[in-house]
Amino acid sequence: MTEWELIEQLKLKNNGAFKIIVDTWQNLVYNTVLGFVQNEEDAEDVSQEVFIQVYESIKNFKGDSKFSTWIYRISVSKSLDHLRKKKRKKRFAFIESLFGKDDELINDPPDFLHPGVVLENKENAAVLFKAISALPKNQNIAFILNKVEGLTYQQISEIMEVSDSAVDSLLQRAKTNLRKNLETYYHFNK
Amino acid sequence: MQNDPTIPNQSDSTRIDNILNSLDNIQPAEPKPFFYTRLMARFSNTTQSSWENFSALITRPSVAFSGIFLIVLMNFMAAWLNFKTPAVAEQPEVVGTEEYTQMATNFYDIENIKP
Repeated sequence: MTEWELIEQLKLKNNGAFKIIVDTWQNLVYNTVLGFVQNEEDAEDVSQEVFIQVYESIKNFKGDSKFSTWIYRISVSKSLDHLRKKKRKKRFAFIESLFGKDDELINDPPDFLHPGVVLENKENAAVLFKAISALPKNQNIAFILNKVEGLTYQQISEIMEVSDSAVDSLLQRAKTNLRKNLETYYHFNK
Repeated sequence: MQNDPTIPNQSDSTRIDNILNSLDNIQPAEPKPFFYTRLMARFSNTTQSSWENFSALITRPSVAFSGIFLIVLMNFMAAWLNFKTPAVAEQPEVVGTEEYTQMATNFYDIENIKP
């Protein structure tokens, strides 16, 4: 069955087609989401949300972009939504703690160790992931799609709906900011 | 000559380069086995009735606040329109006798021709 036939079958709510789509794209979705949320359990939850969204909004997919681009867009937006919700929850828990509620404060998560990083780089990658999460939104998206997902500038430009030169600029600025943040980090940790 | 503390020394610079290059050759992560089964379980849990969908919709802050704003706005507009409309001139309460007799003709008028 071709990709387009699968999409047409999914529009008819065919569960068999949905299973094939999940089996085909689950690694891509999970890996992308994991790069953003930096937690394996959260990545699993968000990946499930991505596929639920795919199932529910496939009728809106007109084929103007590639199916993979569309899935990447959903993955990125669901991941960013999750991070926003988490931040809001953390802020709310902090305010509640000020008013003497018994709820525990949500602590900063431990360093994230990506399962795909080679052992000798794990510690450095954990520092880098922390710095990546502090980048401005668009730089963050471009950097993760390029470095973690290994996408080309053209693929990133299609997902983010910007020009190739804008992606190049975002990645350059991301690298400059990361270097600056890491220098500051080491300067204050001496 | 003293070193400028804001400029990283050689070892820091190398370390930062190592950190920036630490994601080179990263392997894609994969979800745990039976992802589809867990997804289906979640799917069946998230299926909501139409009432649940409706209550979820109206309790969304954006919808709730828009609704309240709309009601307040309609009240305000209704009050303003009432205020702007000139008061209707009151009809004189005393109706001319002639007019009254024309209006209130009953069978006495027909039967009792002579007083």
